[in-house]
Amino acid sequence: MRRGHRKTHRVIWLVLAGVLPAIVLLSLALRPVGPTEGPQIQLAPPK
Amino acid sequence: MTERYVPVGWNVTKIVYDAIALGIVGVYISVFLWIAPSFQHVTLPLDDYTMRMNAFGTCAFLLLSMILSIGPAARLDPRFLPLLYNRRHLGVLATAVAATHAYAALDWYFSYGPYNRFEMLLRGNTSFFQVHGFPFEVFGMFALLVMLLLAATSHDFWLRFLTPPAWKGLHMALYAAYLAVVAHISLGALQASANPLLAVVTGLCVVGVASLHVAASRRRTVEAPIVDGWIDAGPASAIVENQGIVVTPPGAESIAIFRHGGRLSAVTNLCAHQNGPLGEGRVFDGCITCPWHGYQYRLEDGRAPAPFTETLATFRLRVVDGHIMVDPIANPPGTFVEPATVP
Repeated sequence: MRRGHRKTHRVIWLVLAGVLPAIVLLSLALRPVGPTEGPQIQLAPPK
Repeated sequence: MTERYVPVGWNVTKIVYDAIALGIVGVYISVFLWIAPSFQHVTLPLDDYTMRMNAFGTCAFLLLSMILSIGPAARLDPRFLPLLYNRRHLGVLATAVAATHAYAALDWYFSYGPYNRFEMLLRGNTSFFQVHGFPFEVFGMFALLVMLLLAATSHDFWLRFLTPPAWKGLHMALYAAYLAVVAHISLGALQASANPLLAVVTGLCVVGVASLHVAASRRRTVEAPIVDGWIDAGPASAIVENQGIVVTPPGAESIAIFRHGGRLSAVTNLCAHQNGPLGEGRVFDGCITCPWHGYQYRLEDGRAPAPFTETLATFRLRVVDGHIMVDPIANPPGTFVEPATVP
């Protein structure tokens, strides 16, 4: 691999080594907690 | 365009490689569809369409992670080199699996609206300022478009036409596609999934791929000293018969020096095919053989044996007091240089 490409590779992957896990961790941290569905309303059968 | 287009130069190795890759994908999809229903929530079972979409989606992500790991793994351990040989076919397979995932999503989520499904995909959700509910599909679309472009140019015809440096530069776009895929999964499936398995697998993949690349890039080359205008490449006895070493002159491309029949020859370390590291290859049948795809060159003039036409730059060298001295000025590709005899 050429010198220029080797350098570019090194910089790209140093950045991605921080960014990729950060995206996964941040998305998990900002995930809504608890039920995301609205409560189901159970209608009583007509008497 | 002067290159002749041959769709695929098949050989036995490529057929075996592709058959194994297709088999693994088939087994993964089948096992996923078979065991995934037993992991779903009893009150919210997934339909068959979503299950199929998840099977192809996870398969494409795992394949992409594997493809990105092969290069650095092969640099760190030569036992992974056979995987590198036909990596481009693996890339095309990953693109086909990703396209099937995209088709399944389009066919299910965007087929029942009042507009065309592509229009629905692009304008159905504009919640760009929130994490939960973010239109994560845009990242998937970007990644798929990049993968389609790279799959279409994954051919020696385009490699020769664009030249190896430009082709390599274009195919670095796969890193942007991988970033987009991770964002697509993180803002999509990970937001909805109650099962921690997907988060664990995604995390392991991204940490694994990034760690391999960082570890491989830390293997630095040491610049060889220049003595009286010649590069001191170290003792001749350090080179094993039919193997090579790599020396890097200050500020220039590396040079590969090989020993064959007790004589030494020097050529550029860049293979004419994909700029592979020739110095990490060996001499077979009297020819330097690239460790990446097996391209061969004669030691004395850097020319590929007929009918092939690739040529390498050669370098003059001599042995002084048991030390190899190399002229740092490259000869034009294909120039004959008498190999230096080791006393």
